[in-house]
Amino acid sequence: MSTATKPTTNPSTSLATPPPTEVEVFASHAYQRLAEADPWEGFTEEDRERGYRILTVEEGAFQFDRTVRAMLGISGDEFTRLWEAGAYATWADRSGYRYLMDLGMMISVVRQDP
Amino acid sequence: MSARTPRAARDDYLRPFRATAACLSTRPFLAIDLPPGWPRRAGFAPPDTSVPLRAASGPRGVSILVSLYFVVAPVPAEDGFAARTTSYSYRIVEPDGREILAYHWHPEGESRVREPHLHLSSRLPPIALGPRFDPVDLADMHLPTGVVTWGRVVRLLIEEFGVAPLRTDWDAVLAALDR
Repeated sequence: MSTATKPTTNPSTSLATPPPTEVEVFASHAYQRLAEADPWEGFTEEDRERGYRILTVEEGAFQFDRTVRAMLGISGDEFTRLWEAGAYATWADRSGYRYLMDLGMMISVVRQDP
Repeated sequence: MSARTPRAARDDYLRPFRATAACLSTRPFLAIDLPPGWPRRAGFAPPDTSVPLRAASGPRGVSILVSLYFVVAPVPAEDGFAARTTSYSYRIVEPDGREILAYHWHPEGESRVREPHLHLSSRLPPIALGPRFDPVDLADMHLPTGVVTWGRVVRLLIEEFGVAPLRTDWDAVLAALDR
Protein backbone atom coordinates (compact mmCIF):
# COMPACT_ATOMS: atom_id res chain seq x y z
CA MET A 1 0.00 0.00 0.00
CA SER A 2 1.39 3.36 -0.96
CA THR A 3 2.23 5.78 1.81
CA ALA A 4 2.48 8.76 -0.52
CA THR A 5 0.69 11.81 0.76
CA LYS A 6 -2.46 12.54 -1.16
CA PRO A 7 -2.64 16.14 -2.45
CA THR A 8 -5.27 18.13 -0.60
CA THR A 9 -5.66 20.80 -3.27
CA ASN A 10 -6.24 20.73 -6.96
CA PRO A 11 -3.01 22.00 -8.57
CA SER A 12 -4.91 23.72 -11.36
CA THR A 13 -6.88 25.88 -8.94
CA SER A 14 -4.48 26.43 -6.05
CA LEU A 15 -1.99 29.25 -5.80
CA ALA A 16 1.69 28.35 -6.09
CA THR A 17 2.54 31.21 -3.75
CA PRO A 18 0.43 33.50 -1.56
CA PRO A 19 -0.89 36.58 -3.37
CA PRO A 20 0.99 39.83 -2.76
CA THR A 21 -0.19 41.99 0.11
CA GLU A 22 -1.83 45.34 -0.59
CA VAL A 23 1.40 47.10 0.40
CA GLU A 24 3.40 44.97 -2.04
CA VAL A 25 0.87 45.68 -4.79
CA PHE A 26 1.06 49.45 -4.20
CA ALA A 27 4.86 49.36 -4.23
CA SER A 28 5.10 47.51 -7.54
CA HIS A 29 6.15 49.35 -10.67
CA ALA A 30 3.23 47.86 -12.60
CA TYR A 31 0.70 49.27 -10.15
CA GLN A 32 2.46 52.64 -10.01
CA ARG A 33 2.30 52.86 -13.80
CA LEU A 34 -1.40 52.05 -13.69
CA ALA A 35 -2.08 54.58 -10.92
CA GLU A 36 -0.21 57.31 -12.78
CA ALA A 37 -2.07 56.78 -16.06
CA ASP A 38 -4.02 59.75 -17.35
CA PRO A 39 -7.45 59.49 -15.65
CA TRP A 40 -8.99 61.52 -18.51
CA GLU A 41 -7.80 59.09 -21.19
CA GLY A 42 -10.53 58.56 -23.80
CA PHE A 43 -12.83 61.30 -22.48
CA THR A 44 -14.81 63.36 -24.97
CA GLU A 45 -15.71 66.98 -24.32
CA GLU A 46 -19.17 65.86 -23.18
CA ASP A 47 -17.62 63.30 -20.82
CA ARG A 48 -15.29 65.93 -19.39
CA GLU A 49 -18.16 68.27 -18.74
CA ARG A 50 -20.19 65.75 -16.76
CA GLY A 51 -17.10 64.22 -15.11
CA TYR A 52 -17.63 60.60 -16.04
CA ARG A 53 -17.25 58.34 -19.02
CA ILE A 54 -19.34 55.31 -19.89
CA LEU A 55 -17.32 52.29 -20.95
CA THR A 56 -18.58 49.52 -23.17
CA VAL A 57 -18.48 45.98 -21.79
CA GLU A 58 -15.40 45.35 -23.96
CA GLU A 59 -13.63 48.42 -22.59
CA GLY A 60 -14.55 47.34 -19.07
CA ALA A 61 -13.11 43.88 -19.69
CA PHE A 62 -9.92 45.45 -21.05
CA GLN A 63 -9.57 47.66 -17.97
CA PHE A 64 -10.17 44.66 -15.71
CA ASP A 65 -7.49 42.64 -17.51
CA ARG A 66 -5.03 45.54 -17.29
CA THR A 67 -5.68 46.00 -13.57
CA VAL A 68 -5.33 42.30 -12.74
CA ARG A 69 -2.08 42.10 -14.71
CA ALA A 70 -0.71 45.11 -12.85
CA MET A 71 -1.67 43.74 -9.44
CA LEU A 72 -1.14 40.00 -9.80
CA GLY A 73 0.81 39.48 -13.01
CA ILE A 74 -1.85 37.19 -14.51
CA SER A 75 -4.60 37.80 -17.04
CA GLY A 76 -8.14 38.75 -16.13
CA ASP A 77 -9.35 35.41 -17.50
CA GLU A 78 -6.89 33.48 -15.35
CA PHE A 79 -7.88 35.46 -12.27
CA THR A 80 -11.55 34.76 -12.99
CA ARG A 81 -10.86 31.05 -13.37
CA LEU A 82 -8.92 30.92 -10.10
CA TRP A 83 -11.49 33.07 -8.29
CA GLU A 84 -14.38 30.86 -9.36
CA ALA A 85 -12.42 27.75 -8.37
CA GLY A 86 -12.02 29.18 -4.87
CA ALA A 87 -8.26 29.70 -5.03
CA TYR A 88 -8.57 33.11 -3.36
CA ALA A 89 -11.24 32.08 -0.85
CA THR A 90 -8.89 32.13 2.12
CA TRP A 91 -7.34 35.47 1.16
CA ALA A 92 -9.95 37.77 -0.34
CA ASP A 93 -11.70 38.80 2.88
CA ARG A 94 -8.54 39.00 4.97
CA SER A 95 -6.84 42.14 6.17
CA GLY A 96 -3.98 43.06 3.85
CA TYR A 97 -5.51 41.34 0.83
CA ARG A 98 -8.89 42.98 0.38
CA TYR A 99 -7.97 44.39 -3.02
CA LEU A 100 -8.70 40.80 -4.13
CA MET A 101 -12.32 41.23 -3.06
CA ASP A 102 -12.55 44.38 -5.18
CA LEU A 103 -11.26 42.44 -8.19
CA GLY A 104 -13.57 39.53 -7.48
CA MET A 105 -16.60 41.81 -7.27
CA MET A 106 -15.79 43.17 -10.70
CA ILE A 107 -16.06 39.74 -12.32
CA SER A 108 -19.85 39.97 -12.15
CA VAL A 109 -19.73 42.96 -14.48
CA VAL A 110 -17.00 42.18 -16.98
CA ARG A 111 -17.95 38.58 -17.61
CA GLN A 112 -21.38 39.53 -18.95
CA ASP A 113 -22.05 39.45 -22.62
CA PRO A 114 -25.63 40.63 -22.94
CA MET B 1 -39.47 59.74 -9.48
CA SER B 2 -38.30 57.41 -12.22
CA ALA B 3 -36.56 58.38 -15.45
CA ARG B 4 -37.99 57.92 -18.93
CA THR B 5 -35.13 55.78 -20.26
CA PRO B 6 -32.47 53.45 -18.83
CA ARG B 7 -29.81 55.91 -19.93
CA ALA B 8 -31.49 58.79 -18.12
CA ALA B 9 -31.84 56.63 -14.99
CA ARG B 10 -28.14 55.80 -15.17
CA ASP B 11 -27.21 59.47 -15.49
CA ASP B 12 -29.59 60.48 -12.69
CA TYR B 13 -27.69 58.02 -10.51
CA LEU B 14 -24.16 58.95 -11.59
CA ARG B 15 -24.52 62.74 -11.61
CA PRO B 16 -24.84 63.23 -7.83
CA PHE B 17 -22.27 60.50 -7.27
CA ARG B 18 -19.78 62.45 -9.33
CA ALA B 19 -20.78 65.77 -7.71
CA THR B 20 -20.07 64.22 -4.33
CA ALA B 21 -16.72 62.87 -5.49
CA ALA B 22 -15.81 66.32 -6.74
CA CYS B 23 -15.83 67.48 -3.12
CA LEU B 24 -12.67 65.39 -2.69
CA SER B 25 -10.89 65.03 -5.99
CA THR B 26 -10.78 66.35 -9.54
CA ARG B 27 -10.46 62.81 -10.88
CA PRO B 28 -13.28 61.67 -13.17
CA PHE B 29 -15.33 58.54 -12.92
CA LEU B 30 -15.68 55.53 -15.18
CA ALA B 31 -18.83 53.44 -15.39
CA ILE B 32 -19.49 50.30 -17.39
CA ASP B 33 -22.64 50.32 -19.45
CA LEU B 34 -24.99 47.33 -19.52
CA PRO B 35 -28.66 46.82 -20.32
CA PRO B 36 -31.35 47.16 -17.61
CA GLY B 37 -31.16 44.45 -14.98
CA TRP B 38 -27.41 43.83 -15.30
CA PRO B 39 -25.08 45.10 -12.57
CA ARG B 40 -22.97 48.08 -13.52
CA ARG B 41 -19.90 49.45 -11.84
CA ALA B 42 -18.65 52.96 -11.20
CA GLY B 43 -15.46 54.25 -9.63
CA PHE B 44 -12.64 56.70 -10.01
CA ALA B 45 -10.34 56.55 -13.03
CA PRO B 46 -7.95 54.83 -13.50
CA PRO B 47 -9.96 51.84 -12.21
CA ASP B 48 -8.99 50.14 -8.95
CA THR B 49 -6.28 52.65 -8.16
CA SER B 50 -6.20 54.73 -5.02
CA VAL B 51 -6.99 58.43 -5.11
CA PRO B 52 -4.69 60.47 -2.84
CA LEU B 53 -6.61 63.09 -0.89
CA ARG B 54 -5.17 66.38 0.28
CA ALA B 55 -5.20 66.87 4.04
CA ALA B 56 -6.46 70.18 5.38
CA SER B 57 -3.36 70.31 7.60
CA GLY B 58 -0.77 69.45 4.96
CA PRO B 59 -0.05 68.17 1.48
CA ARG B 60 -0.56 64.48 2.05
CA GLY B 61 -3.41 62.59 3.60
CA VAL B 62 -5.23 59.32 3.26
CA SER B 63 -6.29 57.76 -0.04
CA ILE B 64 -9.61 56.26 -1.12
CA LEU B 65 -10.61 53.39 -3.38
CA VAL B 66 -14.23 53.21 -4.49
CA SER B 67 -16.20 50.54 -6.32
CA LEU B 68 -19.93 51.09 -6.55
CA TYR B 69 -22.26 48.58 -8.20
CA PHE B 70 -25.77 49.44 -9.28
CA VAL B 71 -28.57 48.22 -11.50
CA VAL B 72 -31.01 50.09 -13.65
CA ALA B 73 -34.41 48.43 -13.49
CA PRO B 74 -37.88 49.15 -14.85
CA VAL B 75 -40.42 50.84 -12.57
CA PRO B 76 -43.66 49.49 -14.08
CA ALA B 77 -45.94 51.64 -11.89
CA GLU B 78 -44.34 54.78 -13.31
CA ASP B 79 -43.61 53.40 -16.76
CA GLY B 80 -39.99 54.37 -16.29
CA PHE B 81 -36.59 53.27 -14.98
CA ALA B 82 -34.59 53.81 -11.80
CA ALA B 83 -31.12 52.90 -10.56
CA ARG B 84 -30.24 51.48 -7.16
CA THR B 85 -27.03 50.44 -5.43
CA THR B 86 -26.51 46.68 -5.14
CA SER B 87 -23.04 46.47 -3.58
CA TYR B 88 -19.99 48.57 -2.80
CA SER B 89 -16.45 48.73 -1.53
CA TYR B 90 -15.13 51.95 0.01
CA ARG B 91 -11.59 51.52 1.27
CA ILE B 92 -9.69 54.28 3.06
CA VAL B 93 -5.99 53.48 2.92
CA GLU B 94 -2.63 54.85 3.99
CA PRO B 95 -0.34 56.27 1.31
CA ASP B 96 1.43 52.91 1.06
CA GLY B 97 -1.83 51.05 0.44
CA ARG B 98 -2.32 49.67 3.94
CA GLU B 99 -6.00 49.61 4.81
CA ILE B 100 -7.25 51.94 7.54
CA LEU B 101 -10.86 50.89 7.21
CA ALA B 102 -13.16 49.43 4.60
CA TYR B 103 -16.92 49.58 4.21
CA HIS B 104 -18.09 46.52 2.29
CA TRP B 105 -21.34 45.21 0.97
CA HIS B 106 -21.03 42.20 -1.28
CA PRO B 107 -24.23 40.12 -1.21
CA GLU B 108 -22.61 37.62 -3.57
CA GLY B 109 -19.11 36.23 -3.68
CA GLU B 110 -16.42 34.59 -1.59
CA SER B 111 -17.14 36.06 1.81
CA ARG B 112 -19.41 34.33 4.32
CA VAL B 113 -20.68 37.79 5.31
CA ARG B 114 -23.27 39.09 2.87
CA GLU B 115 -24.62 42.03 4.90
CA PRO B 116 -23.06 45.52 4.89
CA HIS B 117 -20.09 45.64 7.26
CA LEU B 118 -16.97 47.49 8.33
CA HIS B 119 -13.36 46.27 8.52
CA LEU B 120 -10.85 47.99 10.78
CA SER B 121 -7.11 48.36 10.32
CA SER B 122 -4.82 45.43 11.06
CA ARG B 123 -2.61 47.91 12.92
CA LEU B 124 -5.07 47.74 15.83
CA PRO B 125 -3.67 45.28 18.34
CA PRO B 126 -5.95 42.58 19.78
CA ILE B 127 -7.62 43.66 23.02
CA ALA B 128 -6.50 41.52 25.95
CA LEU B 129 -9.38 40.49 28.21
CA GLY B 130 -7.30 38.76 30.81
CA PRO B 131 -5.63 35.39 31.29
CA ARG B 132 -8.81 33.30 31.12
CA PHE B 133 -10.14 34.78 27.90
CA ASP B 134 -9.13 34.91 24.28
CA PRO B 135 -8.15 38.38 23.08
CA VAL B 136 -10.62 40.29 20.93
CA ASP B 137 -9.18 40.95 17.48
CA LEU B 138 -11.21 43.73 15.92
CA ALA B 139 -9.16 43.67 12.72
CA ASP B 140 -10.44 40.19 11.91
CA MET B 141 -14.10 41.06 12.38
CA HIS B 142 -16.92 42.02 10.05
CA LEU B 143 -18.59 44.76 12.07
CA PRO B 144 -22.21 45.14 10.93
CA THR B 145 -23.44 48.44 9.53
CA GLY B 146 -26.47 49.59 7.62
CA VAL B 147 -26.04 50.40 3.95
CA VAL B 148 -23.44 53.19 3.88
CA THR B 149 -23.81 55.75 1.12
CA TRP B 150 -20.93 57.27 -0.78
CA GLY B 151 -21.98 60.67 0.55
CA ARG B 152 -21.57 59.46 4.14
CA VAL B 153 -18.06 58.27 3.36
CA VAL B 154 -17.16 61.62 1.81
CA ARG B 155 -18.49 63.39 4.90
CA LEU B 156 -16.47 61.05 7.13
CA LEU B 157 -13.31 61.83 5.17
CA ILE B 158 -13.80 65.59 5.45
CA GLU B 159 -15.10 65.84 9.00
CA GLU B 160 -13.14 63.07 10.73
CA PHE B 161 -10.07 62.36 8.60
CA GLY B 162 -9.33 66.02 7.95
CA VAL B 163 -9.43 65.79 4.17
CA ALA B 164 -9.50 69.22 2.54
CA PRO B 165 -12.76 69.69 0.60
CA LEU B 166 -12.32 71.00 -2.93
CA ARG B 167 -15.72 72.73 -2.98
CA THR B 168 -16.76 75.45 -0.59
CA ASP B 169 -20.36 74.21 -0.80
CA TRP B 170 -19.45 70.62 0.08
CA ASP B 171 -21.76 70.51 3.10
CA ALA B 172 -24.77 71.53 1.00
CA VAL B 173 -23.83 69.06 -1.75
CA LEU B 174 -23.64 66.20 0.73
CA ALA B 175 -26.80 67.27 2.55
CA ALA B 176 -28.71 67.33 -0.74
CA LEU B 177 -27.56 63.80 -1.51
CA ASP B 178 -28.74 62.51 1.86
CA ARG B 179 -32.23 63.92 1.46
